Amino acid sequence: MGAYLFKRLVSLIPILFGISVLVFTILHLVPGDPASIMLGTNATEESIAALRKSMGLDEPLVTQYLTWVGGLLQGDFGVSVHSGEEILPQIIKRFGITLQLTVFAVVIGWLVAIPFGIISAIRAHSKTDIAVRVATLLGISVPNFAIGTLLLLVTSLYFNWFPPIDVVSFWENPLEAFKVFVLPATTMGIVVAAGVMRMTRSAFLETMDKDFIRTARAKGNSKWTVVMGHAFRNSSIPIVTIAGMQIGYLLGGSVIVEQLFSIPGLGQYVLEAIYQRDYPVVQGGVLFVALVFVLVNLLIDLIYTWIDPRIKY
Amino acid sequence: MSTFRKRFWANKTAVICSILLALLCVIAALAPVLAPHDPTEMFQNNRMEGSSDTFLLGTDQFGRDLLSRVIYGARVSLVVGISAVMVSVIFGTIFGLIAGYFGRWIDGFIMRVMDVLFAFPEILLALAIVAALGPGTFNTIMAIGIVNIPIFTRTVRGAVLSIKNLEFVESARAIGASTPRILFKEIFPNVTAPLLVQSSLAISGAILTESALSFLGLGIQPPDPSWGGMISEARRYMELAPGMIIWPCVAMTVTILSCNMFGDAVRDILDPRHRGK
Repeated sequence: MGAYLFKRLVSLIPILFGISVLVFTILHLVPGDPASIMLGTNATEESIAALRKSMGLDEPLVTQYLTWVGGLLQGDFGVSVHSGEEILPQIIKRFGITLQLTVFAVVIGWLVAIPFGIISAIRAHSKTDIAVRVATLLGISVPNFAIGTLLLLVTSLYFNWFPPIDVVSFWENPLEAFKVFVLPATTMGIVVAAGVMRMTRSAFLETMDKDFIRTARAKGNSKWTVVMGHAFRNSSIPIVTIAGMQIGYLLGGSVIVEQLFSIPGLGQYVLEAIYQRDYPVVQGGVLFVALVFVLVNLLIDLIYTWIDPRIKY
Repeated sequence: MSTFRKRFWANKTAVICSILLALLCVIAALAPVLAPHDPTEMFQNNRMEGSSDTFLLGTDQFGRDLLSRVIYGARVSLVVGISAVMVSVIFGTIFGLIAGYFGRWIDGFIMRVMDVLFAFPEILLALAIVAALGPGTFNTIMAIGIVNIPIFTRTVRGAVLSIKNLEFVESARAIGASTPRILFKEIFPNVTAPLLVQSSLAISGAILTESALSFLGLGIQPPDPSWGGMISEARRYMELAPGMIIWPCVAMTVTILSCNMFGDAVRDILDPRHRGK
């Protein structure tokens, strides 16, 4: 396990290098002079020249890249052109909010998806199964911003209720945090639930056909023991895989939901930076999310060995 | 091919979804004929009206006909969705064929580049590309196209690896066929099935991403109608004119649902492991 972890961490180096090159390159594709684009049409020649100098935009691209990466390795993500604030502390602060939203969404999504996915597989081709499959297809097909907007429409129109605007940490005030996050997390949770429910159903259908399940049934075990004691663990690898992918989706997809519900998370920070053409913030935010995404995938691979000890690396 | 046709016609979902998708394509193509009004024409005296004989689905905050905008929105979504997937298919196929056929360091290099692209959540990478290139139809197509290249590269590479050592490829090599001929005439026709399945599923994803970018104001730019943009604009008026949100949502859901179900059905038809389940 230790050797595998070391190997995986080493294999991350070229990926992380590639990610940094890609993020750096994408934002240097900006047509025209990035400094004058960032400062807008009213900027003076002097201020443009000053920004170009402070960001090192006069240097050759390779030098700019090496300076940027050197800064990153020392925890220096640079300074926002718009606000003048250090980028990394802002990213960390905003990521905390995105993480809370993600956890809420995952809890809501999994609480719905796993039981219904299992019921759907056990009662395959029944009315419940058909209802679950239709709900799954709808969940996958309706965009999250449409779900969120419709949820807002229903709660405001029929219940005269809007979620509070001020974000509160779950650890400070769980009830208020729940009120803030319930609609955005449900919006994201519905999409998560659809994917996980689909995978749970298909994984359970496959497992329930296996010989060891037949043996467990023949031994007179109750349905509950067969499902939870024998089938659940053996079906969980594809469920964990899709769940890991969903966490990545949530980190990226939160951009839209945070914008829709005015939640000041990392997604909204990056989006505002795109609107304001604050490229150092866009670079830092996108890079940070990609790093978290890679680490989540590594974690999922490690969880496989815990779920199924037969998996040896 | 005839077996595929037989299985296709026997699969009700595939038939119904292909009819729906064909209908959507016809509506999109004939938008100027079918739309009762110009989608950008403003009827100042009829702002945010409900359904009527003149405006079947009502009007928006500028008095523009919602039905016409939904019809033109279909055109935008399908054009962007299909074009973006074509970009992904073309580049993904070329990279996948090269990586799978040549193997060794070429394969290693191409697949590491794809791993890097996979390391970004889809919408975030698309946002970053659009942030650099600027909003607009062409840039949206390119952004979504680039984001989806890795999935096609992996699909094609996997298929190539499974067939590159079969007898017919060996025979082509033995008679001195050139590498491009082996790649495109011998191997490529045999990877079209997984490519078809992946494409039909990717179109729905591309439409979703386009609508999300337009919703954020970074995709199709107003006054051109796009479903995502329409929903975004309608948020401010949702209590006064809920139809402004509901109709684009319905149109988008029907389109994406049809694409997803069509993709699933084609996969069931082509993949023996899914048949009969």
